[in-house]
Amino acid sequence: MLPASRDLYPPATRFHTGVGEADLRSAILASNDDPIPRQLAIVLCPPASSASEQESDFARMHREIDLVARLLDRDRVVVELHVEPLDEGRPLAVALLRELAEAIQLQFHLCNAPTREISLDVGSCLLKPADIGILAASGFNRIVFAADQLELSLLDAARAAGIRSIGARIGYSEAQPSGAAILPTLDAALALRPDRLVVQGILPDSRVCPGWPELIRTRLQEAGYVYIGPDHYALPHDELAVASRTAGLQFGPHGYTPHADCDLLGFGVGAITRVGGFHSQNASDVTSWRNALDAGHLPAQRGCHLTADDELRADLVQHLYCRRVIAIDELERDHGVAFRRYFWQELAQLAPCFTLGLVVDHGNRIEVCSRAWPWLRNIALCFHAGIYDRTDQLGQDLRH
Amino acid sequence: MSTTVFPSIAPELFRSDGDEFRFCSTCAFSEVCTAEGLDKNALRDLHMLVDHVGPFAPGTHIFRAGDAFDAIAAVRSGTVKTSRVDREGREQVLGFHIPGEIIGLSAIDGERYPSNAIALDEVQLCRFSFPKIAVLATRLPGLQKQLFRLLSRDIGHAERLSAHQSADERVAGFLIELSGRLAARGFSARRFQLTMPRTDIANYLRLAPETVSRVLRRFQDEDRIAVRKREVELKDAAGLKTLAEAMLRT
Repeated sequence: MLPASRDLYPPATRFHTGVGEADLRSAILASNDDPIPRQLAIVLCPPASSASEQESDFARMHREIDLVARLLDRDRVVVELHVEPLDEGRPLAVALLRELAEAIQLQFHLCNAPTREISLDVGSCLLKPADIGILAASGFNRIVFAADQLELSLLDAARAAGIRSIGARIGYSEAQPSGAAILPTLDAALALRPDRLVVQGILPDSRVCPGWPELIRTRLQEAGYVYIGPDHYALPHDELAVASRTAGLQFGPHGYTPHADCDLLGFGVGAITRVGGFHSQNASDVTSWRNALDAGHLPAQRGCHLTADDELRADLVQHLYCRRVIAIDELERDHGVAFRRYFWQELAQLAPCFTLGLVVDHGNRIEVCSRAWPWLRNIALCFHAGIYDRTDQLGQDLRH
Repeated sequence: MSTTVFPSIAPELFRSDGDEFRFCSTCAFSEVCTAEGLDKNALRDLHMLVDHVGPFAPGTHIFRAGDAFDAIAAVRSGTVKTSRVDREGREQVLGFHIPGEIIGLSAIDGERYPSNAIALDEVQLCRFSFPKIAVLATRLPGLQKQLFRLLSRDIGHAERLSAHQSADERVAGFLIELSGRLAARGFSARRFQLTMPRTDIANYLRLAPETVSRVLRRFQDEDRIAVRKREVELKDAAGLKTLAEAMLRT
């Protein structure tokens, strides 16, 4: 499950099966040859397999890491490692996770600076306070809990073990009759002061019921949290909040990170890889993923090469998601386009937002006012290619 | 001063592909006609020798070492790498050729190309049959002079980089030199893309690829340059020039 994938550009719907393993290999090799090769972020998506298959699936993860690691030059520093949740309701496979983290340290050049981020999303796994010490000893310095797992004993154990940042994920269903339903959960989480919070509507639709995010945002800001971007909040001291202040944020398939402009390597079922102008996704069904690795292949199954237009729009979406502005001068400089001419249709689409003062045009940049932050996602959607037939949506949302 | 960021194509550079009496303005040979005021017959003769060839896809060989030498070519668009392979099979990068520059000159004193020429991106060329241009040059002193000038310039490139300089000096020298050549061809001297992979830059400068990146990163930290993807902006060209002096002096 990739919570942020609906927000990315180009969206995963653009991926096609015409590209695969060979394209991924050459994209990685080419990425070594930039004048200053980008730093790396690694995401591990271990499959949710049965207890009997878990060990062999982790062995496959090791094989996949090995196949990719040998393609990268030794100065490709990993600044971020993130393990996606193992949604299985079983005890966390701490020993297997430790081996995986150690394999990454052996196969890649892991950054030594304290700014490196090694995080685990616990998902619905059962975690004992003792596990946290083992994780911290293997290098993990960030843990994300689901709200219903967040309890004081775990948080105390994490802080005692030196875990630098604790995150909490709260899902709410927009199908519930009233926004107030989420408030007890939210307040319980806030009482424990996690460093980061993701509060997310569960409806897969990109439309957001406008009242709720506003309600949640007010509550969180009153509690001292800083708005990072759609669904994401952090305490002011957290690296995300710092990066947000210094324009150093990046938004990727796994949410926000304080490390701008990394290449992303994804391992495991359905994992997304983004290397330079190439995006790919691993097989999303566990059988295809296993078969590919068992035959010695990388399991990349679909993807796309970004066009110049894609790169421009992807950059623009990053501006909106990470800075809540469109820095016109930067886009024109970096992409060699006349912004207003290039995006005249998109800007016309945004006309109601300008009229209502939700979005302000400062000439060299367009700023989204804090009142309009709940619609950031919808504003970004206006800049997706070929979406004009669908963006009537924004007008409808604004009329709410 | 031009603001066209190499390798994007400025309209004024490609305004004309040349006609009977005018060469593409990027072409190294355009200097022959503008400077020497060739008469129309001479121009027509010269133009008869020109073939527009390409596009060559990235990675394709334009010629290989040992191929029979029959033509020199001016790059119209893209970047061409020349290299040779030593006895141990290691590639040695000899140079990078940008639009307006000539490849194949080092073959002039032999019958075979001594090096490989490889397209680094999509490349288009103006090809001049060499035996014919040599005959024509005996009739046109301007052309003869231009050929010799180009030849000596080509040799200069190779020699100046074989000096023993620090990594910083080499990388600075590379940037300043490339910037100057691009400016001479109507591109921005301040901002340009490094269209060649860093392994090739490193090979050319006789450095490890990691060293090239480390030096570039340090230059960036010192605010001498800004690097965005493959694009470099020289923010302190004067400082880099001073650093590069040792290399550019020779």
